Amino acid sequence: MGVDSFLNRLKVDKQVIERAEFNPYYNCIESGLEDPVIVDGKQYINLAANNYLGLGADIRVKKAAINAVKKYGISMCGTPVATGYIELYRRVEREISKFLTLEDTVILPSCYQANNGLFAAIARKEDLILVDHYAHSSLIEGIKCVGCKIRPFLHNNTNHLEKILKNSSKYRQIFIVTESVFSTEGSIAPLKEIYELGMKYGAVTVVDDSHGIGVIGKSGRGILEDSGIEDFKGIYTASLGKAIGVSGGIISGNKEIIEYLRYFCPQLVYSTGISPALLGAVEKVLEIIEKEFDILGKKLWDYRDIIRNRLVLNGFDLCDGMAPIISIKTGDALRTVLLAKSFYNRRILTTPFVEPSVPPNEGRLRLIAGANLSKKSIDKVTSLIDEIGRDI
Amino acid sequence: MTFEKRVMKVVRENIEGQFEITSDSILIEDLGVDSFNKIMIIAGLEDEFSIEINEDDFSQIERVGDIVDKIKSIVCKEGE
Repeated sequence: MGVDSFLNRLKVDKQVIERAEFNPYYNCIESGLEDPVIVDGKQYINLAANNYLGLGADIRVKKAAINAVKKYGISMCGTPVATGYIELYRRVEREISKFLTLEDTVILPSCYQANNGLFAAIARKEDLILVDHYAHSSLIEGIKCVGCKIRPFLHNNTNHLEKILKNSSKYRQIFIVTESVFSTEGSIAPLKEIYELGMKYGAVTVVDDSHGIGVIGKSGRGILEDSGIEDFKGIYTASLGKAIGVSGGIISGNKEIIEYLRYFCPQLVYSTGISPALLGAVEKVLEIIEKEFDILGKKLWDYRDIIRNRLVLNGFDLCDGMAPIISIKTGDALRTVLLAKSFYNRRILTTPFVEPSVPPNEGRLRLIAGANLSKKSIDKVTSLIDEIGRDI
Repeated sequence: MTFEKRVMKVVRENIEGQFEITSDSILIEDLGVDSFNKIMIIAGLEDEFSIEINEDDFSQIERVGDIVDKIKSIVCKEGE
């Protein structure tokens, strides 16, 4: 025991990074999410951000944030239960609920906190939580905190899910937990079937729509719209930092659940309320999506198809995802980081996923082409994909 | 169905993708088994053999054959 041995145990294993002579993590960006972005003084095309609709640096959103700061300041310096709950906060909660066609909403500083706090508040040791094999770390960590029985089910496999449900009658309550759009695969959950199974077996469905809100559904309202689910009796969470282009997380659902969380979700009750600037920005983004989703969504999907087709043409092995996430299967960690390096050297930012974010030897390189990118940038990406394809 | 085949069926039902499974298959390297697959396999074995398994007993398991041996010993103990 001792401080030195403690520090030694914290040493980060950087063997892969050293062998690849490239560290894709903690890139320091020197600009906003314009096209291109600036890294180390050079211009890069950004296929790494979750800025699906390209609203992260939209001038109208920036102005809305500034106006909110002018009225309320940077922070209310209090938790929502105390002085952090402003009229703008309440208005945005209502607007999000209306957007999703759900009864009520709470807003937290991040979706990670939303997913962590949710399960601590609603589940107990005597419950059972069934969770998709590929669910996000925030859901898994939240579930683990409960200390109840956890049974994963195979990714998007409703037969496997039902088999487990059939054998699980001894629990006080069952929860079924899934993402809508899986962030590393780009696959979309069969939520309608999952939800119907939940209703059949008395289980509560919890869906994290972080990569679905503002992306899928006829008018960009996310997985519930996309799946044709009305009068959803489950629990809905989402990040406001992806297509919504801001920051923060939400939990939405029926009034009773949300009212309970307002008082018993520690991550909400004990965190300083989300900044007025962010709330002002979210309000503006919702307005933009209502008016412009047809145009922004079309761009997003067109770009996705162009890049995807070019990668296939060059022999890249892609996941079968139906979302505007393009995920290249890259194998082990070294190959994953080396492919990210090939893109980086050609001034394209991508997101590599290695274990433990993905199963062993199932690395992924993720590309997301936001609607803010110019056609010129997309054309450049396609010609560079040809070059990378030739090199490997 | 033989004991070994029943174990292999459970393993097959609880991993993503199609793999050829033999008793020599290494869980992590050959079948891509991660910590969640391990939980799924253990739960599947509990259902298949109507037994209770302590997850710690599976911490040293490397190959499918090791699972067969472990389940055999659990079933024998419970039958005593």
